[in-house]
Amino acid sequence: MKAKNIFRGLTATFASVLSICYFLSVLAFERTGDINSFLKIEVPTIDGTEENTYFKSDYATVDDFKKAQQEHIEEVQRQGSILLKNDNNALPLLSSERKVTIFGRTGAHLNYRGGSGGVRNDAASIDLKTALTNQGFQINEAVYNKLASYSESVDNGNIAEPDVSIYDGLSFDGYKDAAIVVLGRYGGEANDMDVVDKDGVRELSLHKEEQDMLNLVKNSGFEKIIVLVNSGYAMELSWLDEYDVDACLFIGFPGQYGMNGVVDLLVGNADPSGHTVDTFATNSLSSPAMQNFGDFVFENLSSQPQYKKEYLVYAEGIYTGYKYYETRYQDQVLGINNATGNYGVFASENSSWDYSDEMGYTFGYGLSYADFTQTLKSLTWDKETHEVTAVVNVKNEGDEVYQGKSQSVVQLYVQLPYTEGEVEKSAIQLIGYGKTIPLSPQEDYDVTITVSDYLFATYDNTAVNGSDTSKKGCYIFDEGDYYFSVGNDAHDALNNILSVTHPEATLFDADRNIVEGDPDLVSTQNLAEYDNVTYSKSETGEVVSNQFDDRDINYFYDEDVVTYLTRSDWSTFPKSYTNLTAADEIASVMTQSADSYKKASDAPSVDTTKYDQEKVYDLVEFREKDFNDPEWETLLNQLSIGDLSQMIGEHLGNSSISNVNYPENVSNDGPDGLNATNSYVLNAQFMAAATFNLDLITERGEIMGEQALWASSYGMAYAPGGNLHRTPYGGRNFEYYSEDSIVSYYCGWYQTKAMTEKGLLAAIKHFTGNDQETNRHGVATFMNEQTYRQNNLKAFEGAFTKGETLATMTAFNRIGVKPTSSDYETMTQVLRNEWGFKGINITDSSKDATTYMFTGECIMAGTTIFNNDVARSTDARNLIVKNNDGAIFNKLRESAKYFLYAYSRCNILNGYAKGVEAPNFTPWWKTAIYAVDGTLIGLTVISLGMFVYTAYFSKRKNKEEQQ
Amino acid sequence: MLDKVKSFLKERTFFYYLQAACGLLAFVGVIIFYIIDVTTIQGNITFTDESWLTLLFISIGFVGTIFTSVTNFKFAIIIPAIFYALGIGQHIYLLVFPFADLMTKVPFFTSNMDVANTVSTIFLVFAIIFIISLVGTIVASFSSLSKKERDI
Repeated sequence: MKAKNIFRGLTATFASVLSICYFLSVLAFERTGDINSFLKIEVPTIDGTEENTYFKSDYATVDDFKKAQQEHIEEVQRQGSILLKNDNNALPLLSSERKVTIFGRTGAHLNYRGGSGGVRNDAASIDLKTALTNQGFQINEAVYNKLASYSESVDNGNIAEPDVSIYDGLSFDGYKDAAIVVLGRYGGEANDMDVVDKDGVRELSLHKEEQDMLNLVKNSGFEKIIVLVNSGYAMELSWLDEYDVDACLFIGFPGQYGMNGVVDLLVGNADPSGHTVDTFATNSLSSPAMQNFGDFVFENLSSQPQYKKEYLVYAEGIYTGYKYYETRYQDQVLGINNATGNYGVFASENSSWDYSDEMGYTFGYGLSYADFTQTLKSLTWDKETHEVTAVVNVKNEGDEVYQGKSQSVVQLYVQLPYTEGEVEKSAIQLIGYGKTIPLSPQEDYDVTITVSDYLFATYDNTAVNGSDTSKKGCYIFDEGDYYFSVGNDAHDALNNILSVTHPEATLFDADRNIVEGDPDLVSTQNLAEYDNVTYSKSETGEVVSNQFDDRDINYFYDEDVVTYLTRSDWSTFPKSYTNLTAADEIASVMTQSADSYKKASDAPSVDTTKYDQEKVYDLVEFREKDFNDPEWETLLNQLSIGDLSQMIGEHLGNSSISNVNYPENVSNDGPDGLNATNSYVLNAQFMAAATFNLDLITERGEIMGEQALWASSYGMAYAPGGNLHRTPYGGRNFEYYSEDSIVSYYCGWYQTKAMTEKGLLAAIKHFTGNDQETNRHGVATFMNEQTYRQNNLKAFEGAFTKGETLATMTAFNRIGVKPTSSDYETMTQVLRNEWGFKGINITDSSKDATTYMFTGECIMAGTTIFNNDVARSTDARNLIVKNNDGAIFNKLRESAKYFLYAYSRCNILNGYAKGVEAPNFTPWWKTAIYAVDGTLIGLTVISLGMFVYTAYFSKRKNKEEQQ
Repeated sequence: MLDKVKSFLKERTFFYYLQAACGLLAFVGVIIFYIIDVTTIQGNITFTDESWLTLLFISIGFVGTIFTSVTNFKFAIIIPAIFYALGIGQHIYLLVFPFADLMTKVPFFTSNMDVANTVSTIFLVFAIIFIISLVGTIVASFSSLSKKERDI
């Protein structure tokens, strides 16, 4: 082979490899965070002294911490598992009942966690068989092994339950003390439950394979049939009697060690005390919200690309979950407002809506082995302090089988005065809750619940604002009687109230049993005058008035296109609003293809503000500086334009900034345990909420804070989740707290507060309106302002105003037509002005949303940084430098202040003191890329040179020599 | 004229035809891919699909192949190789996103796992086609394309 050909070939080879490597290098640098996470790259930290370790672990060793995590997971499982049925004291199992057979694919392939980010450790998780055998059970190995070897795995819309023939030829003899049937439902990120799944049925319904299996169990002579529901979603469970199920325990997703807790409950080492945080309807499609869940596309935008054509209409208004079923129940009992009409009938007979047919297990439901009595000792509503305080005595009346300690949940509800045609109000709403300490039989305990009356103020968008009468809308209290009640669940509390308000009414429960409410559990409080003043301003002094008129889809049309559900007439039960035509104004925003941000004509030039000034301060000196301290300006002046731009583009962490000695750090998922060294998978978040124990929620926050402390410079967690379970089909319900905004309010408050106090920035997500995964990118989510404020915003509000969290992750969807991250009214007016938020407002992974989430618009609306999207740094730099735009530069400075303020309160400053330099950090793989690319450039140049020489010069030289 | 063509082709080696065939394969491949991409893929993914760059690079590479085929410049074949590689680089850049969904089992960049599977498969099939084209071109670049290559 000729030399020239060899070098030509080598040139082509090296140049080609270099060309490919160029793109791979770009990709790698863009996805720095993902690669660091995948390779478990640890960011360097500085060993602190006693003095400059600002956030200390409570544990002496990592083993101590791991043990604490395990104990927490087990305890949450014991207190969060919900006993839905327990006939004839089937549970706890007697000590003689230890030979059991496990049924159901899930029994051998548990869902420990949902499909989302965070720590994964299935291999190390305690499975059901191990947990049972550790407690002395003997398992039918033949059946278990058959199930374990079944290879089909769960997938979108596929529950993967095998045909009942899998049990053919297997004997259950000798293992008939109990059949433990495990049913599973699994979903996750970008994976809603399917309304029609791969079996052609509702994914949350009982499938044919499961029915066949239950029939087999029913007819096989087991002493007891126990059903465990291993689901992140409220399954349809009204069939339990049909298959002679003795007991049913909802165990959610148990995390790494939760199955130990489950077995503790099965054997009576503990008493379950979890209560439902969602409604378990007979038919999972029966809620008004379900009518407008899923995939909806504007007819006239159907040819548009993704993110520019999808919408959702929250036609249910405020009536999410139990607020619908229970309010309609009241009207059914009272025979008013078409409550029994053929509207929204899914499980009722004779086309007449009936609560007992439609309801499986209502919100707040949960049994215990022990019986409790609750006595309302006192309830006061202090109109001056605006607090309601209830004292409830709880007595453990014991149980004939179970003699251990038990805990009871006290739930406090209210019914507000309602006038037909006026602002919507649920007939019953939770406002507070508490839990007893573990009580021995016959022991009693006083639970005191104190709640702010803000939590039951009603947002009325037609009210005159009491602080600024030129404005419309504010939270109000109508004059009249307010009925406060404790109850075992929402239905029980409502029946108690009805026993006072309508003693003649015939009340019943979800099983159609006639019941009598207990008027002694009700306190009636009168408000003499309408109040539109108290909550017309927020605690920051900001007037709270209508901001979201244009998030109601009817705003855009001359005639209403959507009828919202009203309790004054149940015939307004929502229809599915398919194929709506986008009004011009909607279409214009939805199809916008470029950033609308332009430098204003009066925008100052960049050099009117100081930057890149001499270093005076290190960030660590601002650890305790007030947000309004003027010295922050000096610190900000030290930042260069490059620093400001760099901050914008997060990469699952943030790069160091030497000008203020800000160290390199890591951010990551997620709500069920941080993706970090030494982390265990926690119980799914909604199971923690189901404990109704805010001490455990605090402990969860502390555990997550510790997970960060035992990792390396882990400063921000994209957690917890704060969205609502608007429907049972939301794919990420497991990592959000509840269908109820007040449960979310409390849990978000306690958990973020605990995380923040541990020095971990708790980016509660996905703020806000991201209540389904289908079309989550760019879906236009329309709702009226009352719904937005009382449901979606309220669910997050506690984390900001009470938990004082220093971070939030925004959602992919739009609020109305405005992308959430560029929605000024949400990001700035509500979040910062009304709620006083001083932290970081980070987008969700914005690289995947560049076609509608535009950099300039987001920054100006109040977005602080962009998640996993370093390209936004280039955008920001261009916006500043190319147009010499001082307006966006100043906005970035404002963002930088929030950014630095949050991190000044973060564990990443452990070890830092004045003068301690933040180390430069380049992960090894980046060095390797530089080396490979450099080598390829060298080889390409050399081979090209040799090719040119051999092809052209050496031949010419030979010719010249020959001449 | 026909004689000139016959004479021209008579001087060509096997590698000449190899690089020409590879160029044709890449070009036809990228056209088919782009049609599928525009009509099927782009509405179902969440990452910014810049497959037009793949089309551009490989089309330029194909022009380079034609240039190589009709001239005797010794350096010419390096050009299509580089542009095919740039096209492949861009293609692999995009391919990573749906594959990430398959790895994580979370359809983050695609609208669901079925789409992730389909998109990944489509991208992979064409990646293989483009790589075959590149490898063939590089192999040809190690050899003379004509029995008498020009000296410039």
